Amino acid sequence: MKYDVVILGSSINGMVSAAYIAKQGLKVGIVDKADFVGGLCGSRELNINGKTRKTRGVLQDTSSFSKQVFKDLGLDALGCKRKQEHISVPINDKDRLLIGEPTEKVMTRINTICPEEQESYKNFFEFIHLYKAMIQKVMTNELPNVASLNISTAWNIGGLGLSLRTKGKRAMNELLRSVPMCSADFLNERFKYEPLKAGLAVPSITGNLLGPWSPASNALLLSYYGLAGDAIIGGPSQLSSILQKKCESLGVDFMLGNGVKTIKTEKNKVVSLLMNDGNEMPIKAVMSALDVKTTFLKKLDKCAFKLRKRIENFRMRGTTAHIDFFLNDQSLSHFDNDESVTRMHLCESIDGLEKSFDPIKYKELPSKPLIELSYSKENNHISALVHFVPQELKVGWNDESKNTLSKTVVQSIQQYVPGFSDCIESSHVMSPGDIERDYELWGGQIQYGEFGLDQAIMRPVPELVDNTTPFENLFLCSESQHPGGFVSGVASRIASQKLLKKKIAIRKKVDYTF
Amino acid sequence: MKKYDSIIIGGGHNGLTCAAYLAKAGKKVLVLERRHVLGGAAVSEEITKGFTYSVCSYVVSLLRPHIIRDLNLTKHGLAILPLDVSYCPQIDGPGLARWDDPQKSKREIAKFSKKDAEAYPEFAMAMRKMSFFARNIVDQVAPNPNSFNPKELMKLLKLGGEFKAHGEDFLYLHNKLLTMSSADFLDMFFESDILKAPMAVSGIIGTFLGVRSPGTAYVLLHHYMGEIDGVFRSWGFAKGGTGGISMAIARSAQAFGAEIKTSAGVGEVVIKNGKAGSVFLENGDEYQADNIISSCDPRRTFLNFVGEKHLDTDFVKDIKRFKLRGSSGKVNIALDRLPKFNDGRSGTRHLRGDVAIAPSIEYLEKAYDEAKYGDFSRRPYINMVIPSLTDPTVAPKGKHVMSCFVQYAPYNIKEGPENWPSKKEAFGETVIDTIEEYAPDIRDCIIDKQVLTPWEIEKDFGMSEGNIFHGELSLEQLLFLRPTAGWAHYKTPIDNLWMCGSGTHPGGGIMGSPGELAAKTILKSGR
Repeated sequence: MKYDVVILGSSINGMVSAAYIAKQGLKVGIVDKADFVGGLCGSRELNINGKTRKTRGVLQDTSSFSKQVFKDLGLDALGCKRKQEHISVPINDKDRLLIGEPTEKVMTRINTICPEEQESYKNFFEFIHLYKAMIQKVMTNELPNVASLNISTAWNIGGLGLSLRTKGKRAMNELLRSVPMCSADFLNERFKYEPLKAGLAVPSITGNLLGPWSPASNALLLSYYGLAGDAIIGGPSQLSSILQKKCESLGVDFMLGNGVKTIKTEKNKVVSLLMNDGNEMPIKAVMSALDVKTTFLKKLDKCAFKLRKRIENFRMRGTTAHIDFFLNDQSLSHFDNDESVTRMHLCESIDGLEKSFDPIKYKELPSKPLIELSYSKENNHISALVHFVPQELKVGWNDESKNTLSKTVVQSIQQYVPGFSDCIESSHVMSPGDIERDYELWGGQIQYGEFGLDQAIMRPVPELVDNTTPFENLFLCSESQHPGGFVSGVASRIASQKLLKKKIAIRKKVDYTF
Repeated sequence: MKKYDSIIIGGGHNGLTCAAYLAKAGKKVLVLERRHVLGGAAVSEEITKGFTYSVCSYVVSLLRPHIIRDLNLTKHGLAILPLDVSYCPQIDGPGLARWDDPQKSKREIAKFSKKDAEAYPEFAMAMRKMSFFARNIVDQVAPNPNSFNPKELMKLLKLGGEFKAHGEDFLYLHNKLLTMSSADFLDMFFESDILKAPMAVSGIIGTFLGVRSPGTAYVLLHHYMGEIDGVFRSWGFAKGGTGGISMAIARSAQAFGAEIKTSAGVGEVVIKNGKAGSVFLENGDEYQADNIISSCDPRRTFLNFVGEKHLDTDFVKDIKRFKLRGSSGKVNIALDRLPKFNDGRSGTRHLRGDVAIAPSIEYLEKAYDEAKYGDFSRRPYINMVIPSLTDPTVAPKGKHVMSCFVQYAPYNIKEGPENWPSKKEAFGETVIDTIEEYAPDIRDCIIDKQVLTPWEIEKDFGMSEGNIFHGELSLEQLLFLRPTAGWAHYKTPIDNLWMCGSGTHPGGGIMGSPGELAAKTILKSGR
């Protein structure tokens, strides 16, 4: 057996795990069905009309990447830098709001467009700051296992409760009431200007079957803003290539273009991997960066009945489509400002967001979708994440439906960026089903598991909350694990620690401290 | 001027329950009701001659058994007739009837899905188990996590201990139940729409949510927690209409010595030096008491009766953001004869319970979507009960009375709520049009009808924004947060002013718990 640990999937999480484990001197191999590295964050080469084009990944938000992981893996030294990012929210074809921490840049735009919201905007971020430390503690550490409710869990929860209570009764109750609310109610209590509300509301609903009026969407909003830090300059594809460098420097082998077909088990151990190319790879330990449903329902050769049922009930319904727009050389002057990469949310109002959300419930395409854009001036490329696109369409997914979707998106962008359609040289559309297939991701669900309070408290299911499995040498590090749905690397850090603590045949003495 | 121990504003079922418990403990109690009839939203009225309408609420389930016993309600005329069937008609087909007899239900369900027929009893058992646990929460004053008081912490620990004692499976399922949407929750057990839809819909009654909204599975439980004569989950209706319940409680209160005045609307609570001591009626009369207790909703209580100037800004802000968006209407119909449903069924056995127009999850969600943007649903969810099939006292012989609960009818229509009266007729017609799709001869059967939109529910019954629960039953407004943090134990920031209505724990429905728990809290306080 060549490898101490084989990692399924070269996603950010897969590579973070590989790096943590390889750092301790173990021999690590990463296998991936795709021929590119980085999963949803990786840059991919496409052949469109005979031309080779490079994408910049599907996901674009890196603000949640764990500071701890960034430090532990020494990514700064490899040239990876972080910087505060602002999201542009267009009001019309000229004016743009900026959403993000209330820096001078952001406040200038607010003072110009909606000066009456200045105080409220600062108060909103003060509110978040009050609980930021708490939220980060919860989001970047292992979840207490509520299902087992033993003394240590009770202690952890009690500790959290106490730290909340010491902020004062009112502060405690304000947070407690804010968690189960819908983000619409929360934002309506604070703001009046619709585009500002909509821009702030976006992270509470993206990649999920939630609208701003859905209860508990505010919990996701609080988690997002609580966790948000500086973005990675160059975006997810830069993060992906830096991580690849890190892994390679630690002797990690990348075996691309060959995914795992079956994880073969004997009693309570994983014994080998049957690969897509027909080879069987005997293994000592496996870390899966594939989502929990793919891992257990598609790859593992067996799974206990009760666990199986619970994993089947873990909701992963895809709601996103992605379009890469490759532009000709005219740069889009109407986009926003002088940043090399600008992110923009197309959203108008709270009710507008809810209206975008409605059709997906009936398996219909949105007529005015919520769109997250990322424009790279340098690469003449726009990545468009289109939300509330159903996995299954009543009329079925085919070229016609993809064209309809594409047209809708172009029209939406054109509204704010005049002349946009003239700048498009070629495009590549992925339905949720395409994302599922190309990224081996159940349902094409980009959060690796829907957000819902029930799914957040015991993510993904009680048996797997601590990133271990009933198989003693199989560990889980995908975003299906806590905190889930953010490109944070936290699950990988936790899972790697678990793996390293377990007694597996290792080559030399391991230093367990980080 | 005569001084009472307690004056209760509002003669709804909670106000009357509170009065009865206080009077039973020997206190001098006065109930002041604005309308000419008692009962609040649990009221029977003869709007059309010869026909008794349960004007607002029309079924009961959650009325606490211990309250029935404590107040001798049976002796005072309370008789609840169980609804032993839930029927969901189809436009074209036999529809699905679910009976109290599980075998009978299984046979009907099996016609649509064998898998569902097998899963049905398993589901019922799981819900029952959940209900046993949830009842504990309903029957007690809400635990307060703010408090460092060891007694409160013990309560929380005890709750946690009870949770744990039920085992991991229970915790897993309870977690799901508390936070999922009713549609998603039911998807875990069943596959056929005609079974899921009427079950899911109990999760959205009185809310401004859809069957796909997170948190609605919990409300499903609220409606499953009921008990009639020890039989779980059953819904029933009171003989003589829902007013029969309120009248029985009123008689009990009077038997214990309470005084009740109708057509005695309160205008304001008099506050001197931060203390409440008396009330002024709209006609100028004044009544004094050691305690003033309001059974009206929190907005009405604090912004109308008390007034902002007596309250601190944080509290006013909290009350102003307390959500009570009404989402339902009611149509009460006097029928010359029973309408015929297009279902090929004979007899009327299957119509003696409730009849739900809820053909699919998609139908229900569409009804919700329309309401979100300020319109009543073109094809609403309708829940109909024909009590005259079982209770001969509510309609002349051979004729019938039908209660139709309708969702969604948002209080805040896009034209503004004050324009509801101009849409009332269209709303009523929409309801009849919808029923007509299932029972084509309905129009011929109608002698008369009464239409209540959220506007009327607010104006005539005093419930702000027409919200039938005195405040939405969403997690951020429940338990220790109802009506607002720090004031969930029936006390208010004004000394000697208390609350005992559905705007307090455990919430709305004909339970009597808020009234009872408020009375017990007041008695304990020694005032």
